[in-house]
Amino acid sequence: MIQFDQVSKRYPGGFDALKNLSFSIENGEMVFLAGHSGAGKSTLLKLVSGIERATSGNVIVNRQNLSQLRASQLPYVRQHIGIVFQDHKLLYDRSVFDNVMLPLDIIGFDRRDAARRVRAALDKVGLLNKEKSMPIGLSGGEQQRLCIARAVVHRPSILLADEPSANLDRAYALDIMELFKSFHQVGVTVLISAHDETLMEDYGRRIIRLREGQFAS
Amino acid sequence: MKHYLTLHWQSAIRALLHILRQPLASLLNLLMLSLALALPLSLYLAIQSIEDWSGKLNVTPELTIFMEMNSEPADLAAVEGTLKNHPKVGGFAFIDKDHALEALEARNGISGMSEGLDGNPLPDAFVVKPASLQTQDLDLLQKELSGLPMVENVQFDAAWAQRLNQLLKLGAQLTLFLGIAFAVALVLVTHNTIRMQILARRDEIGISKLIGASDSFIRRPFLYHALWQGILSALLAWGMASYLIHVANPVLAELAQLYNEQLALRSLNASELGLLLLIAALLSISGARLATDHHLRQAQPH
Repeated sequence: MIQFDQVSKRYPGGFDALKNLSFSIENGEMVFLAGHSGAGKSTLLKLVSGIERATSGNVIVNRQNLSQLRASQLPYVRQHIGIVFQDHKLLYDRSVFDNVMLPLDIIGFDRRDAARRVRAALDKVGLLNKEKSMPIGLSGGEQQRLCIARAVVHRPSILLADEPSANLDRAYALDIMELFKSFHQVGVTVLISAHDETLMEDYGRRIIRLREGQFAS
Repeated sequence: MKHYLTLHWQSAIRALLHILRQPLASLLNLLMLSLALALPLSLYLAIQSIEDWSGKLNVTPELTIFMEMNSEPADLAAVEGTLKNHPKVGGFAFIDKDHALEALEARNGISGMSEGLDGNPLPDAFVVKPASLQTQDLDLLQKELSGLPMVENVQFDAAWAQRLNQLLKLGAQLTLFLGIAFAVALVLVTHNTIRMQILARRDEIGISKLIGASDSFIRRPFLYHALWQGILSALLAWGMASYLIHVANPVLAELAQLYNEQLALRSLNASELGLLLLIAALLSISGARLATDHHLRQAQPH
């Protein structure tokens, strides 16, 4: 469960990215986050994953109040969350397989089971035949799917995706959305941001619309 | 707990493989570190060996008081009385001239030597053990005793040993100073190598942090790298010092032979080697810790 309680985020320099935001997302829900760039979508996702901290208010994720956690505890919160980054953040000097292995290394997963998990995740996103390739040789869509495989390999309870369908053609974007839907169907809480609302409306899920850091009415 | 140990074991193995995979760069690094260790180590061994050797010599400083040839029993009693009450005298023994002559004849196997002489040429003597071994006190005592009536001469038997001890003390201090200087160098060199590695793997560290790596996870491979580096360079330094000893000992033995002495440099014993490894490991790890902490303080996200 994700709960925001009067959350504001002001960046150094005085820019208010989020203003007094309150909402909650239930376990297993699939929610879209809409708004133009600069509306606060990325900031909201960073607050959920503890990459940024709220200036005021409480961010509660998996029954933990991130605002009260020490900075050294935040990485452990992220170990239960899968994040699909807008710019992928892949390691270009490591193979596809090793990229997906990274989260399992971090949580200290048993090595023998880990390889099986990695292949299952790659199979899920259709990259099993590329496990030995280097990410630089993958197309944009394949890199996106590699990033998704890495986000789900440790079976997180929450999956965050920042503009996963940006820069993809519509057919490919729909494929990606189907992928997220399949994770939602096995009980994962999914929060996806996008600026293209036409894609989300097809799914009939809850949409949180942001404008200048507040709910857009 | 088992899981935790497995993680550490994996990190240790991976760090070792990382060193072995870049043999040339690692070797240059190790040579630099081991030279920094070998210098104070060799000096330490040299000082220790000379100290061991000088410890086997009779270096208890003694003063010998030689009386005038024509001294009377009353004069001897006066000197004896002074020695008994003197605070700087730890103990003394009287050697009368007849006994001294007998001892001399017995030692040199020339019995009957005195028969060819006109009487006993040896004086009565006192052997004095000083209470304090400080050079200053010894000098003062020597002067004071020389001033007693009917005393011909006061000899300080172990002056050279005293000087050797002072030199050894100086050497030990030099070793300590060099040891500290090179220990600092070791920390700084390790800090620098680890910093370069961190910079080369900056992206990996940033991404790992984004997907949930804790600071200790980030630190671990670098600390293990430094640990191996420290242990390997300590072993290398040990090898260098041992080689030096191996080469120097025959020459030294020849030299010592001329003085009818046996002098050999010794190698590290097991507990000293253990201590060397421990110190090198701790210094390397602290250098790496400084480098990683510095980077982690700056890196985002926290």
